[in-house]
Amino acid sequence: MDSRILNFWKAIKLPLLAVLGGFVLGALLMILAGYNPITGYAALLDGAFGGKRSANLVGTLVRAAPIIGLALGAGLAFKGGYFNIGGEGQMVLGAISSTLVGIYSPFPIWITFLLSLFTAILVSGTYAWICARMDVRFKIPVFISSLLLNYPANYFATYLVNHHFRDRASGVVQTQKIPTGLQIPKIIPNSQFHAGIIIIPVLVIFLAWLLKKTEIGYKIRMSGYNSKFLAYGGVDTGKLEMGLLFASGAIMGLVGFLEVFGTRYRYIPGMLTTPLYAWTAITTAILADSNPLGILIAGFLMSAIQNGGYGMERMSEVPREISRVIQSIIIMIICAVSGLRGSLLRSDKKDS
Amino acid sequence: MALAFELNHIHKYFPNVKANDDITLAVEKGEIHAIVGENGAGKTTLMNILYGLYQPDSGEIKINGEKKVFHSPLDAIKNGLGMVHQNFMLFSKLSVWENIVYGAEPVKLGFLDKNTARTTVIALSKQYNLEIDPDAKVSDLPVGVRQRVEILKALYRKAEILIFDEPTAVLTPQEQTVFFEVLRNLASNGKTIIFITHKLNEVMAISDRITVLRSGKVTAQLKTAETSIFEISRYMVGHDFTFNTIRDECPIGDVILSVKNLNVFDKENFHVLKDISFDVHEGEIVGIAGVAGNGQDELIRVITGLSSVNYIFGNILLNASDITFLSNRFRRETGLSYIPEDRTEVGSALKASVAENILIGYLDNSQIVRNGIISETQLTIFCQKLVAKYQVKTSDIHEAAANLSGGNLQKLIISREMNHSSKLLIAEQPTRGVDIGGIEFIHKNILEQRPQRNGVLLVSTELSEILALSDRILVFYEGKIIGEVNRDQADENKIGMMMAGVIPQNS
Repeated sequence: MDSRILNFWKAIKLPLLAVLGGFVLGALLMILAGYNPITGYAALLDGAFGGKRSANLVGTLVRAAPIIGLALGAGLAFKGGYFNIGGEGQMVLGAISSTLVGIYSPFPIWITFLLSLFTAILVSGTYAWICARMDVRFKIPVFISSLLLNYPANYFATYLVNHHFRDRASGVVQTQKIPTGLQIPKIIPNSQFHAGIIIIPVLVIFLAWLLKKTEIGYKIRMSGYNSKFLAYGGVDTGKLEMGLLFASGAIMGLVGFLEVFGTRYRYIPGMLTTPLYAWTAITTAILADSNPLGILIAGFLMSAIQNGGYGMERMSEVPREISRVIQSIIIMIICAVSGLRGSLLRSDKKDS
Repeated sequence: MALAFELNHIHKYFPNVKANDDITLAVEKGEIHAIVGENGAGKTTLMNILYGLYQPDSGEIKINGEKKVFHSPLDAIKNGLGMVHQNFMLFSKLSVWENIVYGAEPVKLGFLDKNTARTTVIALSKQYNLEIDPDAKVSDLPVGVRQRVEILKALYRKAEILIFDEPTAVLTPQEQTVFFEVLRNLASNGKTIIFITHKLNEVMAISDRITVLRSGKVTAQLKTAETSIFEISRYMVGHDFTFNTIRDECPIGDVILSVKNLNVFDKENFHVLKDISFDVHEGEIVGIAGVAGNGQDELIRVITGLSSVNYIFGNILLNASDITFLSNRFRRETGLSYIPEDRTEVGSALKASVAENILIGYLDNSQIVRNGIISETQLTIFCQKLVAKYQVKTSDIHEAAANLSGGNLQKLIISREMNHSSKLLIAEQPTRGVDIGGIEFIHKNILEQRPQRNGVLLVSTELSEILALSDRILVFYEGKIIGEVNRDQADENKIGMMMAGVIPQNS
C-alpha cells in the first residue's frame, strides 16, 4: 500500500475509535442512570443539527467558530512542540484591547476597524510571545507560563471594565457597544452567524497549506518532531519558537476580536471564559493531532456534542452533563492510547 | 546432544522486502550460537519470529522437538524463551528486584510478597553468578549492570533459550569482558544462547557455531573453531573484505579549517580544551584519536556552534572567516557538513519521512524551495536520486525514518551531508554500530572527499578507523593535543600510548 494512504489511515484511526468509544460509553452511562440512550441521542442529534430551518445547526456552527479558531491557534504551537495552553488569556486581551480601540478611536470607521483587528493580533501575539521568550531565555516551559498567564489576563481585563471603561448607562459590568458601523453584519437572519465566521475555514485552508507546503511549515513540523535536529540543520530554534508563539497567540486574538465585533459588540467579563472555548479548543486540537483540517471536523464535532447537550436536556430528561462526559471520554481515550506526554510536553526533554 | 529449538523453512515478507527467505536453523542445548549479518540481513526479524513478536508467513518452529505456534511473546516466554533487548526495557525509577519480578510477582493474600521476591532474586543472582544489588535503583546503575538485570529478568521467567540482540553495542570494553564470562557461565549451566551481532571479533571470541545471513537468506553455517573472520565476512558481504582501504596519494592545498589557541570552559567552568591549535587542509583527512571524554566532544561542539559553553578564547577560522561566535546556520553556509555521533537525537527526526530528513540540508536549494514554498516534485526527484546514489535501503522516501535500520539511517545522514560538497566535513563516530558492508561504503565516501579538494575532520574512538583513513592524527588527552603523528609514522602502539597520556621519547 502507498505509505501516504497508510499514514492517513493511521492518523484517523485513533480519533475515530475515541469518538466511537465516547458514544458507546455515554450510552452505557445513560442505561446505568436509567435513561433510554436512543431517545437521549436522538434529542442530542436534534439539538445539534435540527430545529426550525436547521436553527440548531446554525447554532452549532456559530459555537464551532471560536472553538475551531482557538484550536487552530493552539494546534499551530502544538505542531512545533510547544504546548501553548494560554489561549484563553491571549484571546481575552485581544478582545478587550480591540474593543477599547473600537470604542475610543478618533479615526474613520474603516481605519478603526483595521486598527482594532491589528491591535487584537498584536496584543494577543505579544502575550503568547512572552512565554516563548521566557522559555528561550530562562528555560521556563511554555506549558507552565502560558497556563499561568491566563489568570492575570482575565483579571486585568475585568479590572479595566470595572474601573475605567464601564458602560455607566447599563447596570451590568460591561463596556459600551462599539459603533454600529464597526459591527460585522450577520449573514443568516435571526442567528448569530456573522460574516467574520467565513475567515475560519479560510484560515484552516491557509494553515493546512502552510504546514504542508512551505519551508516555514516544514520547520514547524520538524521542531515538533525533534528540535535538536532542526538546530543541527542550521535553524535558529529560539527565533522559530518566538515567531511561532506570536502567530499562535495572534490567532487567539483574532478569535477574541470576532467574538466582540461579530457577536456581542462589546466586551463583557466572562463572555469568553464561561463557555470554556479555549479549553474545548485544546481538546479539539489534541483530538485532531493539531491537523488544521482535522481541527475543522473535530471542532464541529465538539460544538455539536455541546450544543446537542442543551437540546438533549430540553427535549429528554437526560442531563446535559452526559455530553460533557462523552467529550471527556473521547479525550481520555486519545491520551491513553497515544501517550500524550511524549508528543506534547517536549520541554522536559530539553536538557541542554 | 538434544536440540533446544529448530526453525524450519521460515519465510517472512514485508512490503517490498523479503526479510526472511527460507531460513532453517537448529541450535543445540547449551550452545552459544551467533547470528551475524549486515544491517537489514534479517537477523532481528528472525529473532522476533522466534520470540513471537512476528508470525512467519510460512515455516515452523520446534521447541525441544515439539512443534509450536507463538501468537505473542507471552507464548514464547511460556515455552522457555527470553530476550535481552538492545534498548533495555526497564523501569529506571524502580529497584532491581522490582524490575526482575515485574509481571510475575510472588503474591501473598493478594499483596506483593516482597520478602519472597527479594530472596528469589538474590538466589537467582547467586546461582548464575550475576552479581547485583537487589535494592539499587536502576537509574543509578551503569549500562553493564542494567544488562545483567535484563538477563536475570529472563532467567526469573525460567528462560532456557536466551536471545541477545546486539548486546555489546552499549558496553565498554571492560564490561564486554565481564559479559562474555556471564555468557559462558550461562551456557555451562545448560542455557542456550543466541547472540545477534555484526562484530566479528566478538563472534570469534565467544560463539560455538555461527549462522551467517545475507539479504534474508542463510549463506553459511560454520563452526567457530574451523573458521576465520575473513571467511565469515566473505559470506556476509558476498566478497572478500579487507580493512586496508585503497587510498591514492593526494596533495594537500589551502587551509580550510584553522583552530588557533583555543581554550574552552564548559558550563561548569571546567577547562575542557587547553591551547588547541591545528589546521585542516584541502584534500586532507585529519583524525582525532583519544579515549572518549578527553575534549573531542567539546571541540566538535565549538566548531559546529551547536552547544553553548561558558567561555571560548582563541579563534576558529573556516574558509578564512572567523566563525568562533557565529551561528550554526552561518557556519553551514560558509561550508560545513557534519555527521553527528548521535544519529537519532541530533542527526535525524525519526518521526519525519526520509524525504523530510534530507530536506533540512537543502532548504537553500532554489530548485526545491522557491519563495518559501517546497516543490514536492523536485524534492521527490532529488531524494530518489540521493537515496539511490548512496544506497539507502528504503521502500518509499515518504516512509518514516524510524523504519530504517541503524546502518541505513546513517547512510541517509551521510548522503545528506556529503552531497553538499561543503569544504569541511566533520565526521563523528561515522561507523559506530554499522555493519561491515556499511563501514566499507562510508569509508570510501569519506576518502572521496580528498580528490574533491575538501577537508575532513574525523573523530573516532575506533583506532583502526582513524588509522585506516587519516593523513594526520591528533591525539587528545585531557583536553590537550598530546601528540601529532603523520600517516607514515602512525602505528597502533604509539598512538595507544599517547591515548593513555604517555609521550613517546622519539617523537
